Amino acid sequence: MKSMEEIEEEQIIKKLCRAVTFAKSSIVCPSCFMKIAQVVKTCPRCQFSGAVAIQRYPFPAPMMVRFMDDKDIFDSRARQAISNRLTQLEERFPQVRICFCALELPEHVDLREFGYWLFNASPVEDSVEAGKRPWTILLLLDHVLGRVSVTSGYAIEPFVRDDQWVNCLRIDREYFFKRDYREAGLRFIAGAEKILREGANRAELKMSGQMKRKKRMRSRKEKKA
Amino acid sequence: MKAVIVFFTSLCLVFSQEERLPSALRSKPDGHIYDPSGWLLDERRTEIEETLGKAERQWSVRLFAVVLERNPAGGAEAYARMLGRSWGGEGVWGVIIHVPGIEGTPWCVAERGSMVKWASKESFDEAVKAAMDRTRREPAERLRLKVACKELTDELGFLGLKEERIEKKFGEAGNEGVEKAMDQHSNRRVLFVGVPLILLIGVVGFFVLRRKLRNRKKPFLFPETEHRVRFQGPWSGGGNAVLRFTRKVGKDSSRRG
Repeated sequence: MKSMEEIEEEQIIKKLCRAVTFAKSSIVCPSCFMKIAQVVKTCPRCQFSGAVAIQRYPFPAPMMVRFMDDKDIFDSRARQAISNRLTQLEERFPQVRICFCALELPEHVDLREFGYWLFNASPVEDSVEAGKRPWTILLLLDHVLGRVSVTSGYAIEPFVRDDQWVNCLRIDREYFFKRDYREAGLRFIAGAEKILREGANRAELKMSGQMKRKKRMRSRKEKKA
Repeated sequence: MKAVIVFFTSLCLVFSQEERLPSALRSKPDGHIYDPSGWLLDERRTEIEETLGKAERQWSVRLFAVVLERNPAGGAEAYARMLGRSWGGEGVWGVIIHVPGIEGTPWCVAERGSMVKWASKESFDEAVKAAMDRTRREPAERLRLKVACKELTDELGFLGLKEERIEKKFGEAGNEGVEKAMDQHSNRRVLFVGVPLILLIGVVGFFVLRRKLRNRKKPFLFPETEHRVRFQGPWSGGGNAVLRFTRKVGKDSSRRG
């Protein structure tokens, strides 16, 4: 049985965990892709910000749902299979949500920048969505030009790295290229599960390490007292 | 002088009463019966020959029936032993001496050669004694020799049969049997050690696997963290993960896949 103190301590840790405790990826400007050492409101090089993004894409963003796909790039069979797999993933990681967006963009529009805009501009109508949005992983697919990108929310960001997503996409490249979006989607989910599991293990280790350190500190203080 | 003559005469008389080793006896008879006087009836002779022949054929026991007119000098048993060693060789042999009209007849001596690993000496002697005891119970003197041969054949035959079975069980298999037994023993040892070890590994493996599976299925909650809010984005700061999967270039220079 955990004592009250321990339970409280766990909760405190959960509340106070800083993203940098887990985060490994550096901050990158979604427009000019410059690496930035700390959080900024606008990119120091290209002055990119949320406001700039809204100016660049002056149209309403769609609702963030599992499939944002007007042209049925993901057919019903693919949607069914992917949905089933996502249900499994959500059982293991109940906080996490993966959304698929298939669209056609002009060549000059970068998928990462568009992803940033879509992620932030998509309406949040209720608290459920507000709770889910930071834990969302968005797969953006430009099926015409053959591009695919991943954008993750602030909450999930500390536990995953961009290079992991790139590797995951690279493994699925063959299926994207063959336009086998069912298989590509399923494989992407499998890769995402692996990445999340790694992140979860890392987080668990860090948490237990922190707990031990705190206990040690407390026992030292008690001894001194 | 008179006394000396009387002594020698009496000595001659005594010797004349007893059977001496005739020279013909030194060579083995054709069959299993030595009966120079023809005391045995043909019918009985055939029966005894058959019985003794069977003992030799089946169990390599050489039995001889000897009919003497007089008791041999030095005793029937000593005489029988002498005959048996001469005729029987190194194997198992037996000589039954019958002197018609003399009490206690027939006498029997049976021995086994040093090379024969046939039962124990005690059980062998007991078998011979039992055969002769039963023979002496036969009231008709004429039949006693036949009965003796039959009983002795049966007793030694039984011992032979027993030995044969033992041979079959352990001897014939020989080294093969020993190797088999050792193999079985080592197999058993492997079973005794291997099976519990495999079971133990299996059980441990099962629990480890179950724990892993449980952990896999167990929902995991990531800890809440402070959001690194940047570029005025309320939900995401964007990412740097992108991949191009188009390889084909169209006629109009488009890169449509």
